[in-house]
Amino acid sequence: MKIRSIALMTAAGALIATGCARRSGVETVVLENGLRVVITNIPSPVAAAVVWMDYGERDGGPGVSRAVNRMLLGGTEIRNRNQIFREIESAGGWIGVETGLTGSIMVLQAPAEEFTACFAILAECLSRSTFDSTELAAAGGFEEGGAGFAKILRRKYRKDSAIRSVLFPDSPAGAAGAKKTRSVTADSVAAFAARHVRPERMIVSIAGECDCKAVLKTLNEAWRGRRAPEPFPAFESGAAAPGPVPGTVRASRSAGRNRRDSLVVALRTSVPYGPDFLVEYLAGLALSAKQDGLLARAASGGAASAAGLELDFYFQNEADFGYWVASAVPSAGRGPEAKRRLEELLAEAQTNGISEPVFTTARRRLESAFAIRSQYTLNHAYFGALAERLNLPYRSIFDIQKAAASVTHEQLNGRLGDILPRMRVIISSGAGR
Amino acid sequence: MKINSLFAILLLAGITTASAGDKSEAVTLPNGMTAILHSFPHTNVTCVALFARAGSICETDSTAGITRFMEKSLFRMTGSRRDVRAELDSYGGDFQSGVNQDFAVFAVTASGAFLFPILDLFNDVVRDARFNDSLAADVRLELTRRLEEERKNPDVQILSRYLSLAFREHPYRFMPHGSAEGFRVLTAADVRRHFEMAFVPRNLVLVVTGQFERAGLIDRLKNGIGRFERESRAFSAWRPESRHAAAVDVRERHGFGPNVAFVTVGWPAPAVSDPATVAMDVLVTALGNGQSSRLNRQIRVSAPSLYSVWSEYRTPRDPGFIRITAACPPADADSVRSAILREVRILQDDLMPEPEMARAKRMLAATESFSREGATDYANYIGYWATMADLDLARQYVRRIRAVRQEDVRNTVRTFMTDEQRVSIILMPE
Repeated sequence: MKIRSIALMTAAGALIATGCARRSGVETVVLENGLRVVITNIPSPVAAAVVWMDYGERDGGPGVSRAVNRMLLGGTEIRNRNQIFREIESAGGWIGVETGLTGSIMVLQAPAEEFTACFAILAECLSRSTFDSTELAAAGGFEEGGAGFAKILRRKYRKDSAIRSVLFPDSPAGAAGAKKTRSVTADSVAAFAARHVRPERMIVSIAGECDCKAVLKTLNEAWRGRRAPEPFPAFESGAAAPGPVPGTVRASRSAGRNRRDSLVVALRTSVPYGPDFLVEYLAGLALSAKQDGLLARAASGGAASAAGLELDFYFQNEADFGYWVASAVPSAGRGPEAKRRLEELLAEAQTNGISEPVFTTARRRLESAFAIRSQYTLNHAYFGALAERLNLPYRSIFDIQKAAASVTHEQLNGRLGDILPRMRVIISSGAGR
Repeated sequence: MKINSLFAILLLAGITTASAGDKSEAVTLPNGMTAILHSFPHTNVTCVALFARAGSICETDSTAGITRFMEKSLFRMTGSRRDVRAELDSYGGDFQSGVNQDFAVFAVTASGAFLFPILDLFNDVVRDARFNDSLAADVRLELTRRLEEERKNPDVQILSRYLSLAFREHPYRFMPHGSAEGFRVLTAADVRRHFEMAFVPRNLVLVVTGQFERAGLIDRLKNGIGRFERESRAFSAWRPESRHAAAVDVRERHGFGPNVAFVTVGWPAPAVSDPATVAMDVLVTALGNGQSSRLNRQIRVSAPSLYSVWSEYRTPRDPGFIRITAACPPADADSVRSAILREVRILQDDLMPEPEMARAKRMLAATESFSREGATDYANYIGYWATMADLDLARQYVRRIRAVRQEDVRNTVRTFMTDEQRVSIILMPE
């Protein structure tokens, strides 16, 4: 339920906010121009802004969203590209934009005392970009074909397309690789930008200690005097459910030249950071624990200790979907045997559940993972934008940390029947780590 | 200070400028070890970082790379723990370690709820770390793989060559990365000896940042890690570097492809405790930090196809170096080198314009802000100062930066960046 925040309304000036919600120390303001602003006020010498833009590679023609994002920082009515970057750099800050499959984000980070000035430049880029066509020529082409998401995967597993093709058989994210297109035109960019780069299609999330009043004023005035927003479908919060996931565990083996196999377990998760997700994430942490985790036990081949075993676990997400990957590197030639053993252990876990000590380890790991993330304003700003976009029950990293701490052993074991069959077990040679 | 060090390849890259530290508390433990505490009451994360004053500066021709070997061998096993890393993992602890020319550092960040078990683990490691042949074989393999990766990094290769030319006697001539040849002959017994020399209480600084309850923490430290003892044995003394009599200019070949040449020009630079350090920091930031820096703007006038140029200043315990490095098309290598030297000559003759000074100072202050953002960064940052110099320098740093005058920068250029002391390398494609 949204609660009007008098404090923030007073600070920002009642005229500019049409609705404001405050939960868990995080405040949300909806400006008259339709822009949603999330403010996470935490003490820090650094402030960060993340702008969620509700378009990605799946929208527009090939490469168009990437072109638009490049041109957003390519020059405004007031500053050219060099001036934008140099002014922010000279203040000790940085700005960037990233195109994903389902959404894009613009990021700004600067020392707290320099943030307001840097943020004004960001707002200028969003509202007064000239979409100069010379930027198209300078870029020399834009990637298409699920590039954003697939690129993250390629970075992790440069030579291995098996994981993404197994996890995302029904999505461009599973594409083998991106290619460049030169077909983007100035007209297609302008049309796309006019339709999508609009305040009612954005969320601005700010974290740190900054002058909220000045920031809100900047955002409110950024589009003032511009033509009134055309009717547009209202911004829809709440993510799509994850796509269909094949129900059987299957193995793939990719071509590669690395000497040692990686044993990889991957899971396409529910809505990132949603209530279902937390248990799925916990299952991944239990699986990949060095002490008695199933992956360590399988990969170490019954050795008394898994010391020295290379183990890795990470989670990647966009708004509407995410996945985690846990991997281990068994000793040379033991990949297939380790995979067989892991599948046995997963079957046992489905019957007997995950033991109390392994659950405790997983929950500690979860607690630390969120504590570590909570150090940085950029993470708070990103999480604020994501929570607003997905309409999550948690509004801050601290909230989700509390929620994670309340997941019980029984809840985890109760969900294993759903989670374990959705895991993909892969022997990956040429993992390129 | 602008270290940006490739030496400190790992987590040390961020411990650059310093100030603040006002709320940091230094505590001397019963065994003489220094502990630095800094509370971040609004977080629920804690970082424990242990600094040992032992880097490549403690190495000789026969032990080059041993500090890195030790770094990779530690936090593996103790007399009572078969797998230290697994225990850290069970607390979700993010373990990072690194080594540079002056020290090695081991840091764990985790939820504040696990501070005491993690401190107990540090205590166990400093007292009772174990090394054996099997572990040494694993570490040797890991380091050999890493060296293969590092060989693909041009700047590592350039830096290695630069050090060998700039330092003829001082151990800073050794890359802290070590070498495959060195790793082949190092044994578990060698590593143990090195560990026992490096890990004596007075040679260590322990930093705890983040969420903690002060009185309980101090009690834990005083009765735990603050009580371990080890007989002090000094590393061999090293000779200070003597000045070059004349400029060293070399031209060699590289194997990084036909379309790029690398130009690096360097000079001696003040040690961390030298008052000239702050002026050198302003200078190096103005010269080559970012797209709007002097070298990025000016060199492109004579070499528009310049790929990149940057500057770095190592501020180690002993006098280090300032270095400017550029990547450019091979045909432009000589003009890029000339352009670098021209800018240095201009700064010898003229005062740096005030707006350029102000931009550099603003960027240095920003770097300091970023260093204070999280418990992990802050532990590295404050630990650097406590290990290399003292906390007061950290506290005064931004104020000292703001006090640097145009004349100070010009004097620094005139003192250090002379033609006689210059070492330059041009690497052309094979």
